[in-house]
Amino acid sequence: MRFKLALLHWLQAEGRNFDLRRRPRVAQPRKKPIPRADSDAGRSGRPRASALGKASFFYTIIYIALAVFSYGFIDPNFPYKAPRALHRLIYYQRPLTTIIYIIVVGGLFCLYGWVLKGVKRRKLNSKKIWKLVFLSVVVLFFAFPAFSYDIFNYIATAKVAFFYRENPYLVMPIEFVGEPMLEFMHAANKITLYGPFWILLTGLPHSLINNLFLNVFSFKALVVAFYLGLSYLIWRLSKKSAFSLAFFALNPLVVLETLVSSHNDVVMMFFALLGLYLLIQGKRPLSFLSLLASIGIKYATLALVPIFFLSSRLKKEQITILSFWALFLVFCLAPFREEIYPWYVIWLISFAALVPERRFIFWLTIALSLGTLGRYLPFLYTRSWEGMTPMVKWWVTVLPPVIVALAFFKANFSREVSKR
Amino acid sequence: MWLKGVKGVVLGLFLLSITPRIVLADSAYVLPYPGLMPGNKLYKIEQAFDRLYRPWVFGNFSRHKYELGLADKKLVEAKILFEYQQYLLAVRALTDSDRHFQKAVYYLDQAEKEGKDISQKTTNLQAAAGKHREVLQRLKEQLPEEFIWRPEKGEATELNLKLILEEAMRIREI
Repeated sequence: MRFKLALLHWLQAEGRNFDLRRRPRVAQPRKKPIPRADSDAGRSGRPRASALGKASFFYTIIYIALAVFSYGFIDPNFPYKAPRALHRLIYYQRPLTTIIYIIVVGGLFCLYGWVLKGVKRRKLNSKKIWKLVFLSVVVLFFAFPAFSYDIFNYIATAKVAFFYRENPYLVMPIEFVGEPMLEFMHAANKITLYGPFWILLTGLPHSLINNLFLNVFSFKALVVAFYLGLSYLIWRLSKKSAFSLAFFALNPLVVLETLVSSHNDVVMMFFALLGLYLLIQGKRPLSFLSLLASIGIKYATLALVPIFFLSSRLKKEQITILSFWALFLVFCLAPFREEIYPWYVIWLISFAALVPERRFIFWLTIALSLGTLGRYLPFLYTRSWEGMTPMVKWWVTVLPPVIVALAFFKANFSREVSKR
Repeated sequence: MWLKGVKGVVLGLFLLSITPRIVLADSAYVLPYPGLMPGNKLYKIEQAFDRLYRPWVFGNFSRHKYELGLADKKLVEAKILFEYQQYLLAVRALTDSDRHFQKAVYYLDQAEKEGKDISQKTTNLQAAAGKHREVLQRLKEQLPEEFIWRPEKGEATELNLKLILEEAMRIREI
């Protein structure tokens, strides 16, 4: 008996919640301290690593690993060569590459879940999320655009327009005989797919630097600036919600496709959400101008035009939800043009972040983020876009959202049954 | 005996007629579908669109492509009009094609002056010129040398088709 009491005292002193079912509690359990976002002290009073500290530590490790890993993806024909060990890893040790990718993406999703939970439990506030966002930017800015060659299409398009002074809607990069970029570009035989406003914007990073390797980073800087701008807009539109900020800015898909691969979808969404922000402010002409700028980046936000026109009859939440579904429709129609690309999910995450209380939208977005990032797996494993790759890509994209939809259907069905 | 010889000649001619004809002069360059033809209600709208599209085309390569595209289109238009004996309209289309072809050559020269490598474009232009000449040569063989176009109302127009076609072929000699 005395031994058990001593053990109980010791456990309570260690701050563990111990439940004695048979016997009454000898000592009153301590009141659970209200978690504070800025608290650095443990229950025992000893200083412990804060939630931010832990998150920063793990994020830094994963991001550095990702940044190093990304340099292995440098094309063998690129003027600057990848370190030999990394090149061998990516091109010849494909199972290991696939495992590393799974660990990195899995790690990012685990951290993402942990951060979102931390925000919900008020362990992490907006300031701390912003710190994590800036950490992501600082480390991943130096990553090589590993999983997509679109940044080189942006650079080539800017070169066609501003260096060769040709219309990129009529002339393809491949038409310039002797152009050094042709050796490693993957879509040199295409005219530009992007809007005129995007081409105008790329004039800035193009004119700043006249070196291909540094140009990658000047273009990355442009995308990163809009990533920060979009994160800020989401934060403002959600009434400075740390959860919305974290939901968007730390989403692994957003991080990988924006900070690593530098897709311009954040630029398009920045202007779309700026339009929404101006619409809420009652500045309709400016909001339409902003939407026009967004359409001038990548056309997908053309689907938002009817919603903007009907906005006077709608509440902010309704506009957001309708915008989400309008872009989801465009997302679903993507295979008719080419295919569903992972970075298209950024369109959905941008609006989903404004209505995180909508459970179905929330989980659907998470499922799509996870699923579409899985689309890289078969290519990493086989280094081929043919064979089993299309089938695996289809399944990994479709399965997670279907599971989410079925789970919600089952939950609703059970609720209906229990009501009756 | 002589009957056997005749049979041999006939058989030979028959075999020659069924074997695929090899035309070494044929160019691999493919001419486009001409689109709307004069007489169509939308023809003028298409013409206006082509003109409105013009300012969008900047850069010497872009302009070269645009002008060559129009030269091709107008040539096919002229060919069809000649075949339907709409000689006046056909001559107008051919004159347009000549003008666009000359502009295509001009913009390619300008691109070269800018320091752009025009080797691929020149090869393509030569192929286009070859195909154009091929079409024009066939037309020259089929059409009368001169034709007087008499509309129901208005004055007659004398068309020296041989001269017009020879001039068009000369323009396309690169």
